[in-house]
Amino acid sequence: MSSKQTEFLTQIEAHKGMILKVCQVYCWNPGDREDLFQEIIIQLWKAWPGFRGDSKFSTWLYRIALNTAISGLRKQKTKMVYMEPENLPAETRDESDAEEKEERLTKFYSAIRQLSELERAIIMLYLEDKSYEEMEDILGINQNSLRVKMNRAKEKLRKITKQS
Amino acid sequence: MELDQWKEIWKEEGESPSNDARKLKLLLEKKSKSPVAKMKRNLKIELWLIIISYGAMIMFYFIAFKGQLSEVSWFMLFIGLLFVAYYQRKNKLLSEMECLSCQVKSNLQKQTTTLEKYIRFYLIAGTALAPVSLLFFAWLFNVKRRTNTNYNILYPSPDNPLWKVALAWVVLTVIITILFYFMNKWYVRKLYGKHVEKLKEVLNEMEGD
Repeated sequence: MSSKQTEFLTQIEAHKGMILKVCQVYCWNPGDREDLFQEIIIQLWKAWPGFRGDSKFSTWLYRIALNTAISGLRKQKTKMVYMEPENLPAETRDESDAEEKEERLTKFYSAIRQLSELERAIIMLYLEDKSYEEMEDILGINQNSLRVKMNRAKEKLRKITKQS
Repeated sequence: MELDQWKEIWKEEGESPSNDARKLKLLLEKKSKSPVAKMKRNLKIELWLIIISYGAMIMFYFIAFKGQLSEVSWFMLFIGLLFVAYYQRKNKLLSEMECLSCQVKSNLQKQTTTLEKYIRFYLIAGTALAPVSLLFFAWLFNVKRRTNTNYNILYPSPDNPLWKVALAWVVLTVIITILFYFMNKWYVRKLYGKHVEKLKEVLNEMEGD
């Protein structure tokens, strides 16, 4: 394995949770999720020689992951399905996990899936504690507009949660 | 549930066990399934199909019928050369189509604009093939069958003056070109229509307040 590849894989290993979350937010079918994960890794690897460290690694990774999720994959193999606990990714399943945790996760994903693709990205960055400056750097939307969209997305998420 | 509680759930989600590094390494060797990567692969297949099929037909018309229809070979060679230019243009557009490490909005703008250019070019090139081919065959039929005296609207004869023949070919060309245009339009829409609509929808949402 080349040193370039080792360095890349170390970074990916450290940030793999972020990629998995993008996959979970944008794909609900395990097959689609696997495809998206694979595609993001391939695109990151292709773009890796161009990463100069001008921006944070996480910013660079989010740009590629979101670009791949939003504009990269054309169609989902099936329509989004309600997230039953058994459909959750293996990483989130644990035999000893309480039923309550599973229920919360189910609610969480089924609420997020009702948002638009852009709203999902905005909420995801919010949950990751990204600043508006970083969000602007990732999405390319100015901060004022982002604030409006963020409030709208949060409100929508609240309403969805209340309804369920 | 409040958003802060969502954050808590979200963070718990991030605490995932380590994945097998070997599996990740294997992924690096896989082919991309992105629309642009698929379009590039399809374009290459198209190029090879044209080279093989046109190559065989060019050879055939040079050799068969004692070379009496070699004009067909020259015409196909001309179309084949045009296809190379067509291939290069499409390949260039595909290479410009995405910048995944760019900001999401600028990448979407780039992809939408380039994809629309690509579709327009596909439509124009696909449609133009019909009149070019028909006009060539009009010329070929009339040159090669000049001595034919049987009445046929597509060949000149004592009962069928040249202007009538020309008019028949023009009408035929117009009808077939229009058919080609709509067929190509339907096909292009089937291939890329939904994808363009989806990109535009996200872009509109990004640009709106």
